Amino acid sequence: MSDPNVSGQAYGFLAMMPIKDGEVEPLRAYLEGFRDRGERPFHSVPRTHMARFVIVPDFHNDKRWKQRKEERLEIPSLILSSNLDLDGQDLDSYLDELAEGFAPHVADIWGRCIGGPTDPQDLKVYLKHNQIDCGFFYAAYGQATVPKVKASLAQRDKLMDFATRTQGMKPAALQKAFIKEFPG
Amino acid sequence: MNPVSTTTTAAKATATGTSSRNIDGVAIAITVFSTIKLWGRAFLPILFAVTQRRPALTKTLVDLSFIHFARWSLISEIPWNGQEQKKQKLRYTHMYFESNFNGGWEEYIDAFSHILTGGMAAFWGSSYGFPKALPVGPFKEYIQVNETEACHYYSAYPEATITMIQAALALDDKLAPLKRSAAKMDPDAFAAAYKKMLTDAQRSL
Repeated sequence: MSDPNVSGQAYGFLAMMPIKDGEVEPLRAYLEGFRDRGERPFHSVPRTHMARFVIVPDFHNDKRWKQRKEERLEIPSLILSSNLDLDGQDLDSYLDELAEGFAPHVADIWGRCIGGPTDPQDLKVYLKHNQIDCGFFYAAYGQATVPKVKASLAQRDKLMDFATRTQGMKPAALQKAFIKEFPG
Repeated sequence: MNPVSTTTTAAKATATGTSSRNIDGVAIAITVFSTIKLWGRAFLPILFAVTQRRPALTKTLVDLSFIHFARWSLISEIPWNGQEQKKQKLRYTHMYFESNFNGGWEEYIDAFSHILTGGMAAFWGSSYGFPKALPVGPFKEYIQVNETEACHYYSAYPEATITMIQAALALDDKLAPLKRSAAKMDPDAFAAAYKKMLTDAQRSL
């Protein structure tokens, strides 16, 4: 049976980790502060397409929904979700890269989670222990890695520019310019 | 640990209809938890397995062309991390849904409701409180109630829409043969092949 976390070569990773008592708001402030501080830590983990941190304070309950009994999430949890490239490698190697890229932040993020590490070397084991499998994972371009997407986008911009610049050019000059800008 | 402020600020709603914390460039995150009825525990794993094996079922998602990645996960137990964590036995199974899309939140929900009406009923019909995909008003309210804002959201290519990405990847396929053969062609043959490539790739530019 195929891995439900995989679509093409893309992998959907999800971990749900309990937050220590009294640490929900400090953790939230730290994570929200990435943007204010101009930090993009996932940028240091280049196999990441899209990722998020979410704090789940509780399950949603509403009397109108006729749920037989309410259910509360007893310990607020941190969600880490990442859509990543396997590209012939495995999840472990990605989590190693994640631990390295997030090394300056491990204590501030996972140190606030119950059982969570402060040492980046322990992060992979902790994340795998708290992983939740996908039921269904959809990737619109699951065959394309992050470098492939970025290179294709850059090439598209370049070709549009090239086509504009070379309008009316003689065949020999056009060919020479094309070979120079788009080597085979 | 670094000292941090414990004061959190509510992120501003943006023109896209969602909080700025759910946005990176043109990429938007949506994260929704829902509680599953008893029958959904048996039904949803079957639905997921069938959908995964039959790509034709996700053709509409592909055609809609605004979802980069999406996932549905069932949570029936909370991972336990030692004595400090009180063990919680869940009475219900809960569903985690996330999507990474571009466009506006309102348009996204509208498209889901109007175009994927049947699929919505299948995926969320066993969630408590799901009001049906149509009319869209109650459905939007349901999603808003169940949505959780991201604390941090990241896209590796924040300015790229999925249409741009798919066009760029398609263009790559069309351009590659010409890149390989350009140096071996005479100038007139190259000019003709280049013009044909541009014509063929017009939709990708």
